[in-house]
Amino acid sequence: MGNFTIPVGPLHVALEEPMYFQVNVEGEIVKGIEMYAGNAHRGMEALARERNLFQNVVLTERVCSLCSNNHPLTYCMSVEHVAGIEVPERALYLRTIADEVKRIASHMFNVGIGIHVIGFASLFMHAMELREKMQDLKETVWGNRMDICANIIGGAKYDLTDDLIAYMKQTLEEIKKPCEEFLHIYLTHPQIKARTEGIGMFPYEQAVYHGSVGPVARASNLNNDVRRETPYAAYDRVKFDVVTETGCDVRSRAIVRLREIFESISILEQCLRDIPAGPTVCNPLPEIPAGEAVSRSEAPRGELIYYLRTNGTLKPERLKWRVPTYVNWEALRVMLKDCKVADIALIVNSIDPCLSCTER
Amino acid sequence: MNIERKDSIVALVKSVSADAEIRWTTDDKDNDYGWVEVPTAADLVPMAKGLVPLSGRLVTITAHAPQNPSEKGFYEVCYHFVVKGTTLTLRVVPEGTTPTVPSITPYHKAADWAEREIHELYQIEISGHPNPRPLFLTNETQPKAMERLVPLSTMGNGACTNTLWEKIMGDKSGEVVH
Repeated sequence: MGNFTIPVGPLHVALEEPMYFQVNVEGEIVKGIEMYAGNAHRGMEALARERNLFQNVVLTERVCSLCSNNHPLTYCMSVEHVAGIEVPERALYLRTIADEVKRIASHMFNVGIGIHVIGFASLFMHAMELREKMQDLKETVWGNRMDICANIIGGAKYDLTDDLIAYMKQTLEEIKKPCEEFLHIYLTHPQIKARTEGIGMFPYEQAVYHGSVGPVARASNLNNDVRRETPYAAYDRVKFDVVTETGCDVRSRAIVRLREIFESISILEQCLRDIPAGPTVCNPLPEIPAGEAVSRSEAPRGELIYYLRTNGTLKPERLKWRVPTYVNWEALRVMLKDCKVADIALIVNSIDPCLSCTER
Repeated sequence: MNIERKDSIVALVKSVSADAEIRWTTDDKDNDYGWVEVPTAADLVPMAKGLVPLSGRLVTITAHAPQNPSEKGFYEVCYHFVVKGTTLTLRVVPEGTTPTVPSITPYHKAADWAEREIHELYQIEISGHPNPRPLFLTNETQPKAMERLVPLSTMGNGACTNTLWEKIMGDKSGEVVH
């Protein structure tokens, strides 16, 4: 049986973003991979040093469109930490609401693409239809479908009227049953089971060793949800379960995401019910002193961390961030080992990779 | 603040180096943040190794040009860990004739990409890295790329157009165009 090296990417029909994989195969079995990044590097950390602290809210929102709420949120948290800014109660709820709406849309998108890769076209369209409900909701509430500009240093940039709250509650009610049906199909359909069960194995011990985050870690029974571990926004005021699975495969990673959608709906309902009245932003803002801070949040793909150092001027001395995908790439070496060539795209999709995040 | 967790981190740091300075901050949710000034680069590995049994997880590494640099002008390197919800930053100044820090990838796999990135973007040598291949840039690109970045505005103002064009044409034809 011959040994070959197959190039996958950087532009490939099954990859959403540019990443180059050199896959070593023996027959149709993968024996090893090498990854080459760098096709979407924009030097954003260097750009952040050239902009002032307020302009960087806009810049960080553009790191990635799918996690585009978590980036400015986590960045704002780091500035607030340095300056000791107290965010109003209402803004904490508003931030949580924006975060969870984005999470539902992101998870549904990833699961949908996974189903598309295995050729189940009708269920893929069903997933995109459900995601579209969230896209419509975002467009109605924030006026945009991806970059929703919900955060500002010291609070939230938007507010909810009673009409919008009623509309959001109604939309959530409308997607509950279709989401339950979707999960049921995913759990029971033999085609999905045949293509995803036992594929791309990533055992618990490997998840710990790799420092994996997000649904990739939780599908290997590693519970490190930042919302529970290090509460922020209004996550210490709402009840929710951290979803974990023990299957360690492609199937478990999708099921974690689908079950998290129900937790997100519950969090949203609690926030919309309990949101207090009051200001949405700290006003006036204090001077931003010299200092440093680390802040973390749970983006749809997992833990996002920002490190900020200020020197008393309006420009940050250093702004560094690490996105969840960054630590999950190396997991692919474990997941792809001894898999079939036909499963490569499916396994790569199961870590919900984001190149624009990884390379900045 | 979780006193027990904090004590175990302090005990680890002090067992490696009695001179290490530790300070603590908290945010408005009472989450803890530890900041450690690691005296020598050699102390880094035993501290990183000691964090593994405490369920310490490396999150990322930041290379930073401080406002008040060390005598040699080396960048600082900040290692950000999370120990069960407590964030811990170990700050190290590289040592040697060229700035060098030891690799902690053998204990924290998440350091693999982060160490390769600070090597190629900031020219900080990582001794003992298991896979010291460039991460984002090709082998032909000279190190310290982040610090040599030419702003787009400079490229776009026409000042360097001739130089750039001549270089491209010279490279293509194998001779320098005058």
